[in-house]
Amino acid sequence: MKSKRLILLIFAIYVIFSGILLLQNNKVVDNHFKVIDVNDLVRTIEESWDKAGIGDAESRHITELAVTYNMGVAVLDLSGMCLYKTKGMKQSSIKEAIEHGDTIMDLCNDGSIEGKIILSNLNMESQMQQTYISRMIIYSTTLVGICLILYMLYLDRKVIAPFQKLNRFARNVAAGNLDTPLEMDRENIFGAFTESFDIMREQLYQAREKEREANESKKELVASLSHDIKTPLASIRAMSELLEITLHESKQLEKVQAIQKKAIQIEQLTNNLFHSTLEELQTLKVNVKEEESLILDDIISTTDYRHLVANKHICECIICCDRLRLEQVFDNVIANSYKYANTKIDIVSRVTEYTLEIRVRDYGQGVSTDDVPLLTRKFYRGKNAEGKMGAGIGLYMSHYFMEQMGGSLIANNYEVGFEVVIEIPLTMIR
Amino acid sequence: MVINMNKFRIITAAKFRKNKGQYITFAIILFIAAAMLNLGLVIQMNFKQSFTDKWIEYNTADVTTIMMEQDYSEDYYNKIKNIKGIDSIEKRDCILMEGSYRLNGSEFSMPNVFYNFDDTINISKLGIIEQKDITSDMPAYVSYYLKHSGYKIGDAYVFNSNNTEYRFTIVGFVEDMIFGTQSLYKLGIYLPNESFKQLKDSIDSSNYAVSIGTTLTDRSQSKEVASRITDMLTGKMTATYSCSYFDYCKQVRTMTASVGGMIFIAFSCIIVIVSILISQFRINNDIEEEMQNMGVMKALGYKGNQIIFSTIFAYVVIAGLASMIGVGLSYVALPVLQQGFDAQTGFEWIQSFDFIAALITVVIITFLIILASYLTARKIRKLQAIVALRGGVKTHNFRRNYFPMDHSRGNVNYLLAIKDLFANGKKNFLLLVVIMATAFTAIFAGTMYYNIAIKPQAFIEAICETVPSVSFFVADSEDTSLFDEISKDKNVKSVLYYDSAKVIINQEEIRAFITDDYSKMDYSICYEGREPAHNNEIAIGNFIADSGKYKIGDSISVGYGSNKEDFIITGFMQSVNEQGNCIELTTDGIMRLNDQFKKTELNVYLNDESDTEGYIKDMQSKYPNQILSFVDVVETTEGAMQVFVNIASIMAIIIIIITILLIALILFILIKTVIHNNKMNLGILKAVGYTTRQLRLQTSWSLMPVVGIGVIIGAILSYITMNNVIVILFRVLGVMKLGFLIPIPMVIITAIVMMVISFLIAFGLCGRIRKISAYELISE
Amino acid sequence: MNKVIETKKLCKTFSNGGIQQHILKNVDVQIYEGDFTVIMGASGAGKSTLLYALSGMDKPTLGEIHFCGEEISKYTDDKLAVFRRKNCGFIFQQIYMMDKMSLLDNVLASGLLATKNKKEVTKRAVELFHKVNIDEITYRKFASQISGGEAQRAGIVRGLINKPSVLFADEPTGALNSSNSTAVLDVFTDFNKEGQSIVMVTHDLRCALRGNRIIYLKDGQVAGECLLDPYKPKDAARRTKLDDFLKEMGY
Repeated sequence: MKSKRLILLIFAIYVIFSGILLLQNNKVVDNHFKVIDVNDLVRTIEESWDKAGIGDAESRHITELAVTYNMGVAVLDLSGMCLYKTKGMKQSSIKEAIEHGDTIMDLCNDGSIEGKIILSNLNMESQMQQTYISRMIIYSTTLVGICLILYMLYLDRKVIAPFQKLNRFARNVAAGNLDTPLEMDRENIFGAFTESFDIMREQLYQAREKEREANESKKELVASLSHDIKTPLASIRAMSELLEITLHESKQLEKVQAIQKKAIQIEQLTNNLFHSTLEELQTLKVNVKEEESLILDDIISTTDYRHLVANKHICECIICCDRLRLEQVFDNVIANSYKYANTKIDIVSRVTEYTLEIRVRDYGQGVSTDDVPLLTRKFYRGKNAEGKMGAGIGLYMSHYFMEQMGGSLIANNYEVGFEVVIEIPLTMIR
Repeated sequence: MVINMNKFRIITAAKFRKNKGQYITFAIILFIAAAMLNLGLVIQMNFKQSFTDKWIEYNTADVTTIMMEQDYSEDYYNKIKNIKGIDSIEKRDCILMEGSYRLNGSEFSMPNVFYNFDDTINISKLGIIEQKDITSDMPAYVSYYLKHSGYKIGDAYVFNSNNTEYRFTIVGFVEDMIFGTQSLYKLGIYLPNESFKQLKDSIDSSNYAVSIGTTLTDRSQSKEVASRITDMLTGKMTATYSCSYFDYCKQVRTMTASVGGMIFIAFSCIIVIVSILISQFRINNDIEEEMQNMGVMKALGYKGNQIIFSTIFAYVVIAGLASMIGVGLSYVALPVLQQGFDAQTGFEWIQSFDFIAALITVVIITFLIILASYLTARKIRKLQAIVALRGGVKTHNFRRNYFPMDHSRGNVNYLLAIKDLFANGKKNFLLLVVIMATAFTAIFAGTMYYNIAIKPQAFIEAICETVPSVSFFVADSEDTSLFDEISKDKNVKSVLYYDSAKVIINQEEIRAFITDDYSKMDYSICYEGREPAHNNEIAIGNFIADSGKYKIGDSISVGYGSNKEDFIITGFMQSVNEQGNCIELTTDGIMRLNDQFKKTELNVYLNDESDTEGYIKDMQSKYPNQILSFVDVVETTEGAMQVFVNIASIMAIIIIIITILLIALILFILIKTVIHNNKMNLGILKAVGYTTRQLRLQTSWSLMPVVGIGVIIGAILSYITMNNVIVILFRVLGVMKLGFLIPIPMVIITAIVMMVISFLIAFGLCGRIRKISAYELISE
Repeated sequence: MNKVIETKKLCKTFSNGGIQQHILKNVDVQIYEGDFTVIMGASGAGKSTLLYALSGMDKPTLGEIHFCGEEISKYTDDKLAVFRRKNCGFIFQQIYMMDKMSLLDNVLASGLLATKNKKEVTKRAVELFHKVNIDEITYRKFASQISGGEAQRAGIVRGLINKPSVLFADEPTGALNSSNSTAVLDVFTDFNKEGQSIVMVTHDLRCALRGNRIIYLKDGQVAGECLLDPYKPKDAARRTKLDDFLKEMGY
């Protein structure tokens, strides 16, 4: 494939190159006399003509023009005498001019002919040469091109195409597709080579076919055996049941019962279903999940609607809790603080080995020391609660929730202020 | 098949969700292309037709002959009436006056032809666009063309003739299909009965003229009939006369639109090519990505064509939809364009929905995208299921390790960027083509703007015959004192007589430009051959050259009155004003035809044109008798250029916006693909400690060499070919040769700006690298 | 012994369609200088997540990581990238060599980040390649042209090119066959003997045997730790101790 591209590339370069050469040639080749150039020269000579000949300045101008038009110019008077000649102009008489194939024009002045002007193409010789060269280039290009194309066609037919066929074949074999045979063509160089390849494919194919057959028969065997087991098993059960009724000797009866049991077990093993009964749900269910401790920030800020929490620091960790219940706990604790203390609240936390400990502290009057251990009891209300709304169930419920989560809730009394310590477990208790 | 269609819809929808941005980008590019193509087609297909429709609607005379009343006799009328092919004929009185008027803020010297608005006529009726009842002593209806040139109803239209001021009040704008613009070198003004009579009474009777309008049975014969009439009148007229015909009117009135249409079509071609490349690039990429899925589909029994269909389906649907939306969009842009064209063409172009143009646009774009994507996706058919399942033919791919890091110099970031560059040839090709094309168009816009708005010399030279600073009309050219005085002045670059006369070529009256020595002129308007230098030489305009199949060196017969002489053709010249229907002769040459010829118009080229007005005043006071009148060409040109400057700046802005948009869209598609394909490598590089910034720079830099090469190639290409390209676009105008300046600093700045913009866009788009994290390596 | 890395209540949470999944929960681990630490655990226990968090490849959701005295858990992505250049080397299970560059260039792409001296880096890379038994012909090849074992050893070279404080390896033998695995593991042991700190994640017993500190993860938490003597081939007592530990952990 690569060599093909290379050859094409070389050929393309060659074609382009010779094309450029030819084009360049063509430019030079276009070298015929132009009517307007001739007219310009003749008219210029006529305009500068006066009987005495051509002046210096004018002759320089004419020479310049002649050079730009690539012409040789000679001016003759009526007697045939050469009055003026540009450089490189050999012909100086009408005879020479005719022999050389030059253009002869009349020199007119005021409507009367006063002489002749000979105009000669200086490029004639080189032009012919160039035509020859360009023709040669065309011929050789075409010839080489045809040869190249023919050679490439030959290569393609004899080498590349069979190789590609072989390549496809090898890919088929590699992919496990052994069905497509390799078409043989004894004409090409790889004839014999190809044949052995195809034999190899055939043998591979046969081997695989055999293996497949062996596998299939094995599967059939297992299927029939499993079907066959069911029938004797049914007979064993039926017979052992019959024996249980008919037999009276206890020792034998025991063994028969054992047989029956095992048979049932085998049967059970085949269709085993488990039913698990769900535990009765408690009315106050605590659903413990793992949560990021960051949820406490949310919980506190939603419950602290009066914005009394002054300092808050929650350690980053994962805790096991029921978010809903935890929210109720904090709601309760903070509401209590609002109700009884109505001061700023500090919340600090630290991580112990198994728990996240959160201390919620206010700076109010606290409770009486006697009340402290009783606070978490059902319907217990502290002495300071007199005259305040409430049923005495808040801390009890909070305490219950925390215990259910595997944590705890402890109340502490200080000289100034009251503190609730909430411990939330870090990991699930199993 | 119904089930299959459903399946394909699901697959396509899934693909679309995955690559939303890229599909949308593809769609945007396509509908820009469709909008431009549709605009171009609508203009090309309908504009000329709408001119003809209006022509027919107003029963406009296919040939209109105007001659002065002094030359007119009933005989002509009868002769014209008997010319074969004439359907109907109508004679009207009118007034033809030389003079000048203001347009776009500058004075124009051009004859006006006044008609009686209240004549009862059947031929050459007028369409009234707008009118208002204003009582004034000299009411006048003027061409719709003037409405776009700064006139409003109620404004005064002032016509200066022979130092007399004629003041009219504009009471309405009309569509006149013949003398509605300046292109016939006559501007039509229509006066109600009262004011027409008033004007007629106030002027010399030598200005009275007769207008003979004729309609033809076959409109395509208009030129032949016109030349027969001219033939008949030649040599018998003592004063000016003219003969205008349908083909010519149509050509001059519709050419601006034709150029606009060409530019739109050319531009849309570039964008369509870009979108084809994009679809191929994307499909190649899709195939690589979806290789395994295709294997599964093949294994399930899908046929090759079905998988190809599912691959290209999205692109085909987008092509169809986007081109339809594009067509719709183009009708939003059309009114703006219509306004612009109306200003140039002098008639109201109303375009309704053109179904055929829309159909062609949609079909061409959809078909090209289907073809391109099918050809790209065709290789799927050769893919074998098992090979595809293994993730494609990844046989030993011994690529080279480009730029081994231990031996290559340079910062590690740039080395990685270069490695990226060599990793994907297709991407580079797409980018190269787009950048090349956009660089070309950007420089096109820059060149147009520069040569029209900043240095309009080349543009003026291309559309005018010669542009002196001042033109003096001299009483007697034999008296050389004025000429000598002017040529001695140091501020004068050159001075020469430049006249024009009417001669006859091929039975048609055309304008001949005449001067002593063309080599003294600063600019040659010959695009082939040379200017005449001797009394038997002639240069002919491209219109004559094309119509008569003349070659340089041939002889051509030129007539004047009853004289006829042969001339040798030395060159072809361009002329926008005369639409190439003119010739150049030397003074000696015209003397051969008309020995009474007198030079009258003296063109002065000044070095410093800042005080032309002062110079004119100065000369006038010195030679009050010699200088009959003058034209301040500098001022006139400035006014005339304003329209072109506006068009050029609008075009430049549109092209620059589209260029930047195109670059951004292409980079978006490329970078998205590159990042997607390179996700793993980017992840690894992030893992070993490359920062997002470094990777963004690397990815952006990896595109820059291609952008750079593209910009450079585009710049060089445009530098070399720009003038030829513009000539092709402007050919309709009669421009055959152009010497637009392409300032190298402009090219370099454009190139640099494009590179910088590309880099910034690329860097911005690479922002999504931030989202790739090293962590994805393990989750994959 | 000095602590190179210490984590405090390290947590990592993934959100998937609104459902939060906690992969790492309150993990406290210490990595000591010169140790060959092996992180084990059943699949899904969060081993790799822990490794990538320790190495600054990924940011933890909660908790702190002190790495050589720097608290890296709150670094920005780019700051982490710069940190990784100097301090961390990586070896991936899937090897992850960039497919468009030779092995050497892969290594240099990493090495040239930390030092600009190309000669020096190249010299060190070549030395390391020799140490892991990769010759010049091989390291000039692409990763797709060589065996997995060679590629993984090149991966180790890449990991070590910047003399990292800790070399992190994520199941380095996971994609390799038995003999290639042994060769790769030997390389690890050799470098560890020279004082290189290594942290390796694996669930393969043979790999674990190479370490001297085994951390067992269970359900995103540290379930236990086991200290072993330095590795010696065919050390039965060591083997038994590890077996007992793993049995206790429920491996």
